[in-house]
Amino acid sequence: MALPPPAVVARPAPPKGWLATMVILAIMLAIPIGGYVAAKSVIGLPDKPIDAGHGVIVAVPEDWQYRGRFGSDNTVLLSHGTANVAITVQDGTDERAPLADLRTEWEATGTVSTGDTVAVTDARTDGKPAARFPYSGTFPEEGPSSPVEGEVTGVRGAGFITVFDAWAGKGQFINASGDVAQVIRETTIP
Amino acid sequence: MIEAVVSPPLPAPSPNVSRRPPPRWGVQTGLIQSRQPAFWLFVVALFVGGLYGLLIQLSALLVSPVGWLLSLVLLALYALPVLLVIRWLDLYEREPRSMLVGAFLWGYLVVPLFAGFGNDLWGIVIAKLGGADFAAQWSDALTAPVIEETFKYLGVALLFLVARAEFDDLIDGFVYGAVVGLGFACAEDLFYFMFKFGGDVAQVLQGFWVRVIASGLYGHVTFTGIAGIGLAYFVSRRLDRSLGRRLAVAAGLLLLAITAHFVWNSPWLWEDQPLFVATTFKGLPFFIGLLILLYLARRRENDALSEALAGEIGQPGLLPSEMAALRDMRSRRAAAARVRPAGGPQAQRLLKQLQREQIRLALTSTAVDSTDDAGLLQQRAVCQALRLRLWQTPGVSQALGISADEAAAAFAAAPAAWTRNAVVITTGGWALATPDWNDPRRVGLPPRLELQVMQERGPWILVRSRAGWLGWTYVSYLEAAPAA
Repeated sequence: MALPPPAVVARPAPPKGWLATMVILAIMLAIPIGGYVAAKSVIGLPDKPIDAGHGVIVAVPEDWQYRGRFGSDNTVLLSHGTANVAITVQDGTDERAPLADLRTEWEATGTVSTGDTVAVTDARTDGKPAARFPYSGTFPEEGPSSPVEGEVTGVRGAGFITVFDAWAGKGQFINASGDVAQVIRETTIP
Repeated sequence: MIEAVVSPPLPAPSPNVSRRPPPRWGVQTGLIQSRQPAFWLFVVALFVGGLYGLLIQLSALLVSPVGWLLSLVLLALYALPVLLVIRWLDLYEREPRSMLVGAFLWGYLVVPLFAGFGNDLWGIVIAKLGGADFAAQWSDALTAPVIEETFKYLGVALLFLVARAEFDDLIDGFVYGAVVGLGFACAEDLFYFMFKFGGDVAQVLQGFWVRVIASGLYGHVTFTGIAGIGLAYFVSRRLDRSLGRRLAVAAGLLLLAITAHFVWNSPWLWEDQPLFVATTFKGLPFFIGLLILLYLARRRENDALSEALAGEIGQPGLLPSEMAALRDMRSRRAAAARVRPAGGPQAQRLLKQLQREQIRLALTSTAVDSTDDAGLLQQRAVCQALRLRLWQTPGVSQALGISADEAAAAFAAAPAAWTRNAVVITTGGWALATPDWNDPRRVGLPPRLELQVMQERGPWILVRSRAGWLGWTYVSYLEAAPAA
């Protein structure tokens, strides 16, 4: 064909934006690195104890999260994945009494079944009396709810009972039971 | 046939409208911009985030393959309609798919990695300094809004640096922000379904209810959509707004996004109110704020549409009486509603098609530097042909308020049916997008190709092929068509 190749048309190249790109990279790195440096500088500070009441100091296993306090009875909640432990301190001297109340309440829902309450001798190393019952079922919630399984342990203290309600998704409690035992064993109960 | 040209010079401001030229809607690029440093940062971040994402997916798969698959299906059911709504809002200049995919992947892969580490590390600092109780209540509200919104925002900013031409109006910032937010929401939801709710079928459904059904409208899509509008304001209004004002708007909207996220993550209302009440009180005000911003942005786009089409009014593609019905979505719907009783659903469809092509005409007119551009002339011809087809339906032109004189003039101005009156010489030739040898957009004309001469401009001839394609060729490439 007779036509010569297309002439090169000079066009303004889009700006490279090196500076802006470097600023973005710097911010991307600064946030985690800054967090690492800041965390490292405070990691040695002692943790403030989690007091569940009556001097009960909750032990939090490694990798577990303290989720805060809930409800009118100031229940302390720990979680790790789908596993949870709710710790409540109540006045009383019989560790079976709050467990009996819970069993009655949950059985009344018709969707939760509970096992017998039995004495537990190896829950604590300090020999405090303890009792436990297992449960499984579905608790009514807003929207769809999923079945859970768990166990409630009551430990007698000096004029109060510490109730450990531990649960996880159905079939998943077994994975958390070691950590739950650690919480019950290592929590300071006067 | 004609390759798009990137970054033509901006036209001179028109004294009649505003100092701001219409957005360059028709100029489209894409994510793959290997000459831009931002592209390579995007790629590296995506690669690193991809490795992390793979690890998360494999872990989720190990927890429960069925739950993982169900999570993906449910999230697709959530994400696809949201994407469609975002695309629908982006009516005039549909963003390139590669850019949208990049935005989603930034949210799905990059933000979870960087923000995840950032949240955890700064969470430790808060727990150590504020104590466990304070951290349990406020850590999520103090870390995630700042860190996650920053990383999502950086993704939108990187996309701008990669393809500046795509950020020419406020809606563009919303689109990219919302898609980044959607990607992150999907990644976060999947993580929660599998590792927090438990991963089996019932738990995934429960997670979907809590995190998507009860709160889907108010989450990351809203937050980053708001922030994205601010970024788009900053970069697209530099010709008619001061730097201080643009900075104030961009920073203000980023702050609003962070505030919305903070309110959402704060412990207020979660414990003592039903889920729907809490999500509504925490999310609805900001969602309404986003809707107001979108309304304002859309109004600007409608103004820009009018500006873009100002030069087309009276040309074959757009009659003066059609402009009023094209101005905004409500007018377009009203026109379609008037046509249906007169011409039936087929005429209504035809009108919608005509309106779409006229909007495309606006895009084309913003992409070209010359009113002689063959692409523009061709788009005008498409609109003209559709109009004539539509008006042939009895009663339609009257329903649209077209006078008999106007209709008669339009039919009289219709181009003649295609007839060959020229052929390309035996050595072949070239056709260009404009009558200018410097225009690199050109195609070869095969020897003996039959053409119709549409217009002559000195030695340049505007020709039309039988298929309807238009181009400018030089007189020496043509000879008269032999008699049939």
